[in-house]
Amino acid sequence: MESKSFDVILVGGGMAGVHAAYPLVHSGKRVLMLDGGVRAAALPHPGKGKDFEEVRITDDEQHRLFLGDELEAIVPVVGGSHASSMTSGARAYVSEQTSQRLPLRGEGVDIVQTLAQGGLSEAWGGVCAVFTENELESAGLPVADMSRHYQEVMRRIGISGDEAGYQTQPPARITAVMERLLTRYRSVGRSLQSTFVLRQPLLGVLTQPLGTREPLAYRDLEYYRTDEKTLYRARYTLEGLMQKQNFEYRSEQVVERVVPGEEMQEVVSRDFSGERRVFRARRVILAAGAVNTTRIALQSGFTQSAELFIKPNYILACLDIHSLTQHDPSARHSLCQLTLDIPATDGQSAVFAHLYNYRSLLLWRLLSRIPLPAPETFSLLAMYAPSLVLVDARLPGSEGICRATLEGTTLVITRDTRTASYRPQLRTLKRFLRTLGLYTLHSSPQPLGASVHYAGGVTVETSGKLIGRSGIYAADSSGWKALSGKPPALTIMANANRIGEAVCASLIEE
Amino acid sequence: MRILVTGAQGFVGRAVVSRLVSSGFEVTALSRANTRGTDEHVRSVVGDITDAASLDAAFSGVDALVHLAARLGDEQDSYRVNVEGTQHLVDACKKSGVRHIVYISTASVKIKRKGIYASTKQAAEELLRTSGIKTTILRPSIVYGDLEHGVFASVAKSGTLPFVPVFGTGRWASRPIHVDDVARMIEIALSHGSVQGNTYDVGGPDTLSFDELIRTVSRELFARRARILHVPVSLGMVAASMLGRCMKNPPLTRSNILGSTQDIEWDAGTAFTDFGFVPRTFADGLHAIVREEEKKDADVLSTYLYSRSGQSYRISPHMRERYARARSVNHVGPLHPMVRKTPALLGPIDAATKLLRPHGTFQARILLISALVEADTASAQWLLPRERSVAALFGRTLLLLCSASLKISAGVILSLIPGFLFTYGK
Repeated sequence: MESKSFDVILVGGGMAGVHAAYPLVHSGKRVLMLDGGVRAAALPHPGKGKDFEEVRITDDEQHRLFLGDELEAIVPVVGGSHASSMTSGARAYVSEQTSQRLPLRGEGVDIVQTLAQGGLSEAWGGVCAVFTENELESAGLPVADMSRHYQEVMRRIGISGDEAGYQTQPPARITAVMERLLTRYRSVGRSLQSTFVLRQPLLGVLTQPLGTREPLAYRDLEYYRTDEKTLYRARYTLEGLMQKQNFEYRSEQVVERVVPGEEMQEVVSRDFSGERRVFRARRVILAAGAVNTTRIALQSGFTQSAELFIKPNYILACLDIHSLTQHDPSARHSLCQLTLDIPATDGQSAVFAHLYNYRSLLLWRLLSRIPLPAPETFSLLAMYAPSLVLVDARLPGSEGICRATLEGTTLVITRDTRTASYRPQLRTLKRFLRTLGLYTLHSSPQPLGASVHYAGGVTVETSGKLIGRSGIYAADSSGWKALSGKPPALTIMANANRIGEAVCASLIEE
Repeated sequence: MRILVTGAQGFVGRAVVSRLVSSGFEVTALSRANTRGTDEHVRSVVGDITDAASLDAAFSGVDALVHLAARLGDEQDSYRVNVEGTQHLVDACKKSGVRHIVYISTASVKIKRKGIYASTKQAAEELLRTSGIKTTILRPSIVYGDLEHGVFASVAKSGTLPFVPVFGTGRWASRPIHVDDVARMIEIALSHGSVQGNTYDVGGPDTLSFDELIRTVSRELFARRARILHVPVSLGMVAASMLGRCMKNPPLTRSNILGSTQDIEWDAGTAFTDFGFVPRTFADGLHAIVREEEKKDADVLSTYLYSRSGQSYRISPHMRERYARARSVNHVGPLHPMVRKTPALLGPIDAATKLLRPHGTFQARILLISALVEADTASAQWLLPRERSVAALFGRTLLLLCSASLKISAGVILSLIPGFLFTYGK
């Protein structure tokens, strides 16, 4: 039994957890964060200033960087899981310990869980978006309040790009191929421009220094090296919080359930050695991510079953015939270059696609998609991959509804709608890509869950408070009523900040 | 101590030389042709044991002789090499004051009905025993150690036949011993006075019937159930004589048949006691060979992958180690031994499994080696983007598509053979 009590206990230290904690810690509340806290082993980093091609030509230890010390980047492909379907390299720690400590069975879905410090931000690609009013509304988030929180989080973590009404760092440079696409987009005519939007996205990536973090160096290694801290990870914010006296961080914790009380809430947590402990606080904020907040809600007996939204996505490989014979050796980054947004009539994103150059992503990942023998495929890819534009098309989560229940200690997530057909949306997307000069060679549906965008599970009031449970809040996307096609990370962080402030205010009221 | 080794290029010879060198002996290797000195610790001398005059240079400074060179088949000059050659060596030993000879004979000197091999080896033994020089004689049964030599090579070759011919009843008792254990015994014989001057039967701890031996080798090394056909000895002898007449290196000799059909009195135990160790079991030896063979998977697969790169490739030991690790992490089994032996099959199998079993083990293997090859400096020149003219782009594309379609056609034809993909595309 733990006698020490706190104002607020945060369950989870990912993007939601750290930004909900931020306003609380900074207004002097005593905050305890319970987290998995698994960290990456130190990787050898290639010499500063080396870019992707230099590493490929000169570094004898490159396999450790590109495939991971345990060659774990190959495992997802061979083994069928996809904790790092886009990013690769040493990413085993992201899902380390989860199969054992967070037992889950997916039926028709493939869920990525994490106990890593910083949560799924350890594996994200940095693409951010501001939700439209309609998108906020349908997710159940307050329209009026959000822009302030968006701005606050943008300033805190460093966001680059252009967004009307917001102050950001300047947008990152994009490749010549992408510049050409933008030019072509500007010339397609007004009427077509109103049906889809091609633009540079907001990126959780620095183009100017911020604290100890360094701006983009355009080395084309952003997926592999993390020492420059260019791409935002939640643990950078966590490191700042840990400097504060009134913030306590406990790692190797897996929260089992929350026991609501009049004054004090109890959190029952089990550490990695199996020892159970009870922590007490006036408020509890659940921020374990939609899937595991749902797990805790089920284990606490708040509900018997829950509805989860999982965003479906497709990967399209497109050929930019205009760049076929051109070798563009200019410095570049390997993150998302452009986004293509097809808004529906109700103001939601019907399709939201990320466009990538296929450069520093290794060719072998495409090998299995081409039905030719390996040596020929490799040689063909080497010739054509520089002109490939990879389009990751994400569709609204309203179709990917799943049911979550408990079976003993195992969380069972079942896909309970018929397989939705996205053919019309994809056809529209391909048409728009064609007007830009991109020809789709191959499109493949990813297993439901591969987007790693999840929402829903609990019902909350606007303040984030769980309905019928005073003192317990959900700061992650578990309280959302819908999942737009847009990347939710920025909105999760802004909303967490909002809920952190709301909890702060409710504590002051008392 | 300086040791002269005859037959140093042979199967046993190589194992002996490498063992002696690593134990700190100075080794002179006698060979007929001038071989490029692969090992700087070995002094290579050109000489022929049938030519007494050519031996003098080799014997300078030598303290002991390990005599391995022999004609193994029933050749015209078997007597000249096995007996007269030994006599020349004895003379040279006397001349240069060599005081100890280790002679590798054969278990078949004990059989009743002897072929040319057994009788010449016996004559040589006799000659050494009466030479006045202290001679240690080792008489091994079957010596094994890789797939290129001895009975294992025969089983490997018979892989193309619908059955493995075995002469006699197949109950002949073999005592296979690993070549490294023979080398170890030779080293002990050179350095331990207690065994010197004796004659030993040399074999492993297991006794296997010939049928059993072939079945085990076939199963463990070739993933195949051996169909054994017992051929009467007389028929075999006739066949061997005919083969001997029309071929220079016949796959079968009368000595082979005689040596593997007549049981002999055997005493391996004395050697175990006197040499102070028991050789590895046949199972252990076999598994070591299997593991050794599996290491070649990385070579075979990466060479295949580079076959359209337009560059030459030499695999590094690191790559081998990485592939072995990736294979074990992903629970991917080794290549089928036939595929390993016949890399030309890789293309058609790759093409066929890509289409018919894209998520099978074979494609997983291709994926593992591809990832490793790509995360390696050697592939940078091939796989990194570079400027290309339109003509080069389309020309090369056409070429690649042609070669791909050849592989696919071959793959389709081969996969029509029942069980082909099931066996080799696993």
